[in-house]
Order: sequence, then C-alpha cells, then structure tokens
Amino acid sequence: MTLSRKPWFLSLFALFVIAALALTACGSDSKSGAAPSVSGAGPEYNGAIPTDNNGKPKPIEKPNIVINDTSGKPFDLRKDTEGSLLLFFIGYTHCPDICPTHMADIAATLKGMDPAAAAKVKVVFVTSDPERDTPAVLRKWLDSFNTSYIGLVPTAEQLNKLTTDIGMGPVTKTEIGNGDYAVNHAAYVLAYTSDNLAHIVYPGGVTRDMWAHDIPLLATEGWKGA
Amino acid sequence: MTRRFDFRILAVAAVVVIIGAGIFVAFVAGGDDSGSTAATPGANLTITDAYVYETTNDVASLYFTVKNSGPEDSLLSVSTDASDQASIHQDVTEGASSSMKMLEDMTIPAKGEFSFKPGVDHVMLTNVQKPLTAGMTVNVQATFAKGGTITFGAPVKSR
Repeated sequence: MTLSRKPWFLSLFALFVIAALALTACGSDSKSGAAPSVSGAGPEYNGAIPTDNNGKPKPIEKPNIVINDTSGKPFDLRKDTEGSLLLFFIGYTHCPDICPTHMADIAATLKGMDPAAAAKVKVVFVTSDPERDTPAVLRKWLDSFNTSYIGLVPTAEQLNKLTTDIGMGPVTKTEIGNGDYAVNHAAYVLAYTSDNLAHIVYPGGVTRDMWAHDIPLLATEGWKGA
Repeated sequence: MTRRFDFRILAVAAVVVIIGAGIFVAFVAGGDDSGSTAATPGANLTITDAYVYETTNDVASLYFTVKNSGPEDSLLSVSTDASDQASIHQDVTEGASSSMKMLEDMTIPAKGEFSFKPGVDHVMLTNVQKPLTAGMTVNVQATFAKGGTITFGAPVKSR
C-alpha cells in the first residue's frame, strides 16, 4: 500500500488503520479499542474521520457542481440533495469488488430501514469511467441494486473537478489484460450530512452491520460526532 | 458486594474455558481434515469458503480461502468455466483513491492461510458469458507452484 505524500492523507490513512484494527478486535471485545473514529460523548460511528495534518477533524465539503444524470437531466449536487444524507461515491461498473459491494450493502441497509428515515437518504454514484459507463449502462447497473440510486455521468472536466474536490487525484487507467482496463475510484463512500459536509467516510471493508448502524443515525440526527 | 463480583469473574472464566474448548475442538477437527487428504498431491492446501457474487454485468469477483499446512506456496493462476479470464487482483489505496493491481502470483504463507476478501483481494472474472445467479456453481481450477492444480466449486451468492 502506497501513501500519498500529502500529510492530510497520512492522518486520514492512520485513522483507517486504527479503524481496521478496531474492526479486527470487534469479534472479541470492542471496549478496549473504543470507537474506531470518534471519541467523546457523541454516538460511535463505524467509518473514518478525515483530518488535517494535526489530527484535527477536517470535514470534506460537498462539491458545488451540476452533472447530467442517467436520464440526461442536470443534477445539482448541492441543491438536489439539500436536507438529505448524501452517500457519495465515485466508481465504475466494471469494478468487480469494492463498488458493487458498497452499493449492495447500502441497498440492503435502506431496504431494512424505517421508510421515513430511508427517504432522507440519497445515494449518488458518479462514474469514473464515462467511456464504458454510458447513461444506459450505468442506469442498468445501479437498478440492479436500487432503482432510487442516482447515477451521474460527468465530462472529463467535471470528473477532474470532482476528484480534485474530494482529494482523490486524477483518474487513471490501468491495463488488466485482454484489452480490459481498470480505473481508479474513490477509496471510500463520503457521507454528507445535511450541513453539506462529510465528517465521516466509509472505506472498503465496512460491513453491512456497520452501515445498518450508521446510516439511520446520520439520516435522522445529522452529524453528532466530535 | 465482593462476593457478587467474584461470581462475575467465575462466569467470565467459564465463558473463556468454553471458548477455549471450542477453539481446541475446531483445531483438532481441522487437523483431522488435512490429515485425511495427506496421501494426495497438493494435500498441504485446502480450499474453503469459496463463493462468487451474482453478476450485474460481465465481470464478477471470486473469493476463497487457501489453508496451507505445509511450506510456503504461491497461487499462480486461476481459471473458471464461467469466464474467459480470471486474474488475481489486489485493491490498492493511495490517499483518497483506490485502484486494482494485477498480481503475477499470490503468496500462501507456510503453515498459514490466505483469504481473498471483498474490499481487499479478489480474483476478477472478466468476460463472464452467462449471468451468474444464486444457486449456480462456478467450477474453479487454481494452480499453485508446489501444490499443483486444485479443482473446486464456488457457489454463486446473492449480495
């Protein structure tokens, strides 16, 4: 695993490691590890907290951008998700592992939730592979998880702005044989509460039980962490 | 008050003993399993927990655990009857970005185990011709440097 040279990510990465260690410890006794991400009086969450290089929480701002959705209509990421819990992910449909896992686990959580709370959640998936993910391809793939998922197909310029805004860096292609290629995707789902800030993010390895705990909490109460 | 506390300690101790006994039984049972196949080549390696998720397009992920009772080995290649190609991938995270890295092989530690797990490592199946749905089984051939080729079935699971 390689690290970005930016110190901001070092601290974020450190928190991921702490979270991972806490997850491993979950089976036996979770008291010793405390909350993987949040300390203090607030509720315990299962994700990781983005921090600055002093370890101070540094929420990620919701990108201010309008991108066409899978029906070709412009979707304003801020206006059209106002007041909702926005679960935001940049990925692609040929991604075999992390992207479908997150989408399926979130769908299962929404299905099992109180419908009133579930109605406060919006899931936005932006493709990082618009070349293969046409609006129709993306729609079909998202519908296999949940028909209410919002799919956005950005231009190269829009994608560049988004990945810069969330600190992901440019999208690159990697050949994986037989003319097939992989592209990079966001390392985590960003959970934007109604204050338009992602105080918490969810990396790969977050389980369905963890989602089931955190999504209703964030959707109904907003961010209550430190 | 102190006596009541003592009881709690006793209860905890009892639980610990029961868990310990469970682990011991599992360990003995595991030992028996590998022992029973010791005569065949590749007997050091046992495949467990194999599965493939239902497909939504022409790519799929295969996960399994390799238990190794012998010296270090490495997984060289995988093929299945459901896909044109199967490649060993590692999810690599750099800062806020994740990608996949294709690996030439995967080390299986001596007297240990290696697991392909969602979000960590996986075998990517590309050009999956027929949709995979729960209840189907994918036939897998995994070739190891020392352990030879092992054939096993991976049930298709819904997510």
